[in-house]
Order: sequence, then C-alpha cells, then structure tokens
Amino acid sequence: MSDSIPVTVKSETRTSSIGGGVFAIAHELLRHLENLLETGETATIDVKSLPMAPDEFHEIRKMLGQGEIDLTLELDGPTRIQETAYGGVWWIQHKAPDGRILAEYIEIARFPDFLSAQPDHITEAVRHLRNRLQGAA
Amino acid sequence: MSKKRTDERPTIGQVLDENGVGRRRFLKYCAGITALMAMPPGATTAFAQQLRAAKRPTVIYMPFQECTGCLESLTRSFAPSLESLIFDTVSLDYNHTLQAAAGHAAEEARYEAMEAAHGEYILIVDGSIPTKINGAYGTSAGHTFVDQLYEAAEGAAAIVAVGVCAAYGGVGAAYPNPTGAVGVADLITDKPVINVPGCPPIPEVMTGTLVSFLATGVPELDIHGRPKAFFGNTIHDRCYRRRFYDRGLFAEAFDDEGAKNGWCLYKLGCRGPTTYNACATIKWNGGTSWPIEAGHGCIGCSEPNFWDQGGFYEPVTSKLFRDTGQVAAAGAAGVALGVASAVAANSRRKKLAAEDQETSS
Repeated sequence: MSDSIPVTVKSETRTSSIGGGVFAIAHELLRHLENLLETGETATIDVKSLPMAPDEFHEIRKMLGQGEIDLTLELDGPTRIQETAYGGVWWIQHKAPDGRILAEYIEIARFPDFLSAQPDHITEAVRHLRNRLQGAA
Repeated sequence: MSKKRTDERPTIGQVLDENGVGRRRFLKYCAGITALMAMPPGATTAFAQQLRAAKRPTVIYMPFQECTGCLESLTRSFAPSLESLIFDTVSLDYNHTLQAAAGHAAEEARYEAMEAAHGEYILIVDGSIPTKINGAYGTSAGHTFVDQLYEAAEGAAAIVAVGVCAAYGGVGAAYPNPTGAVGVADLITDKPVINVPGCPPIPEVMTGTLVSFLATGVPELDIHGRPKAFFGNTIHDRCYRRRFYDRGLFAEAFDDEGAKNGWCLYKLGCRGPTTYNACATIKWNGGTSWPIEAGHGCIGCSEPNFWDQGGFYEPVTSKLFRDTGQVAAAGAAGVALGVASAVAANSRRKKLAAEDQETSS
C-alpha cells in the first residue's frame, strides 16, 4: 500500500560515499577510539537518539561492517551484540519479543559492558557460594 | 488490593528475583528506559541498581475531565509496557477504567490503598479539573473532581499529571473555558507535580517518567513542570527535516514537490520550532513513525494553551509578519522562533482575554 503513496523521504544530498550525518558520527567514533587507545576510557552512542533519516541508520551500520563476533542472547526478545569491522567498536541492539527495537547503541570499549557481571550480581554470587560451602562443610 | 504499608512492600529487585527475572534481562529493560530518557547509555548499570533497590510503590490513577485518550496511549506503551510496570514495578491499586471492581467496591479499594500507603503513593491524574460553580461540572461517586483531587493529593508522595489537560487544562480550558478547567499544578502547590503533557503523551514517556521517578525521585523539570529528559529539546531541534529548514527548503502545500521530497513543514504550520517533546526521537507506535515523518507538521500538543494558539496550518510566526514574503524570509533566515512565537502566543492570549471581557461586560 505504501508504494501507492507518492511521498518519499530524501536524505541530504551526498557529495561523497559517506553522508552528512554518517560522516559526523564516523568522526565521533574516531575520537572515542583514539581516546580508548590512549586512556582506556569507554564511550557509548545512543543510535536511536540521533536525528537522522531512516536510511541513514542503515548507512551507518553498513559503513561499520562486521567483525569476528556476532552474539545473540535471548532475554525477553533477542539482544544482538556485534563486533564491527573496527576493533573496539560494538553494535548492540536490544529487541522486544515482537521484534521492536528497545535500545540500540554503539559502544566503544574493549568488551561490551552488558556482558560484564555487575557488582551486585557478584556480591550475590559470593554470598551464595559461601553458604553452599558452609553447608557442605 | 493494598493491605501492606509501603515500607513492608518488597523492593523491585525482590519482586524480580521472585519471578525469576535475571539480572541481564532487567539490565536490558533499563537500557530501554535510559535510552528513552536520553540518559548516557553508560548510566544504565547505575540506574538498574537504583531501580532494583526501590520499593514497589502504590499507584492511584484518578481520571477527571478527560477523554481516556491518555490511558489508551498508556496501555500501548511498548518499553516499558504497562503490563511489565504493573507486574514488576508498581502496584496499580486504583484505575476505574482498567480495574474489575466498580462503584462502591472500587471507591473502597481506593480509600484502602490511600490509607495503607499514606504519604508514599504516586498519584496519577488524567484530565483537567473544572472549578466553576464549585466544581459542579465534574463529579464522581458523589464528590466533585476538585474535592477528589485535594483528598487524593494529600497523602501522595508526588503527582504525575498525564496529558495536556491534567498538566495545563488542555481542551477543557480552551477559550472560552466554560467549566473553569485548570491543570493539577494550578490547585496543588504543596506537592511535587510532574507534568507529562501531550494529546495524548507518548506512552513510553509516561511509563518512563514513572520508572525514572522510582529510581531517582522527582526528575529535573523545565519551567512548565515537564521532565527535561523528555521535554528538553524542541521537536525542531531533533527533527530529521531540520537540515531542509537550514537550507531554506520548504513544502508549500501538502501535495507539492517539496512535500514529496520530505522538505521542512514550517510553512505549513509545523509548530516544531516552539514545541518541546520527544516525538522526533522516541516516535510513536513502538518507534514506527511520528507525525512529521508521516508528512504532517507538529501541532504543539505538549505546550500550555496549545488550543488557543491559532490555526494548525499557519506558520508559527504568521501573527508577527503581515505577508507571506516576510514569513518566508523569517524561515530562511532562521529567526529566533521561540521568542517570536512566545510573543505571538502572548498577543493571542491578550486578544482572547479582551474578547472574554467584552463578552462578560
């Protein structure tokens, strides 16, 4: 049905292979990557908050490419963690069970924070293991 | 319905653990919320820890002079969904549209919940409050809405006014405002009032505001009482068509080449430059689209007095500039639209007030 509606949404005219909004994000990524290398500081960019035309999201994803790791977790809908072709740049997408995107961001880090065990989780693990060992003694 | 005092209620973390909700599932839930609130994604972990530690609160939802559109919107929240809020995060103890009980049983449940969680419950108000002839334009269960609001607000920790009607009076308060409709903050001044305006508000903004209140308390608000996390930017600032505005490329009619090319809708009355809301980033229907992406300008429904600010299809500066040439020049030059439209709105209000005075004299 949408094919019958003569309205198209055009992105800004491109003068190079990388579009305007994508070009800006690529520069931001470069700055964060350099910072990660020099100081170890991580950064995250919320992709959904960027005011871009729909096709620009695809353009960014295409530009970043695919690295070695492509991991999908089933947590009330799929969570996909992909290493991009640029080491240290991760594309993380959280989806609802019906496929809607809940959150989507680019993380610049050696390892995605989402996969790390959190302090309260570790605290609980210590307590649980200690109780178990005490029970066994 | 509520039997326990709030301090005996479990934390949200305990409820989640009892229901077997894993830490990463919860972290993912929080990632959706922090993304909604435009919080730095790195803040998700801390947000999740705060939310897990929060007590599961009682929520009382009071509808007044309203159309139920806000509740319709709320029930369509995708992330967090209303279901996940009710089952995992809050105890919705009174909402006479959603609950099974009716009549005296429903009212008893409300009083019981208000007593059990006195001083600690969240009151959600939907709809404006009519004040003329001692509030007689709006009554329920034998009490005026005015009295019901004062009574429910007395024991609330905070009040969330959902929809432009509860926030600022909305359509009920539009000229000539026959019922004397006002918003919550016009009557309640001794409690925190968080306005979540819109007609209706974006569902995720309503649920996100509630969850963020649980984790971090009353959020930072703008001068109109709106959470800055959702209402900190104008539609125009976050609009993907903004680049066309900056280049002076406008649709002049809904069926011209400019409209087909997706150019800026400013000249067709878009109120994006003077409207603060999150439609451009959160969008509607689970992030599917939003009015401007569908080809229609913003109507400014999250702003005070939006019904009385002129036609929806006139440029926001039209009352300041006499001919369309000047409007076009203003658009191309990128004038300070916020100031301009505030002046326009002010002159419109003065005109209405003058008309009102003439009518009554």
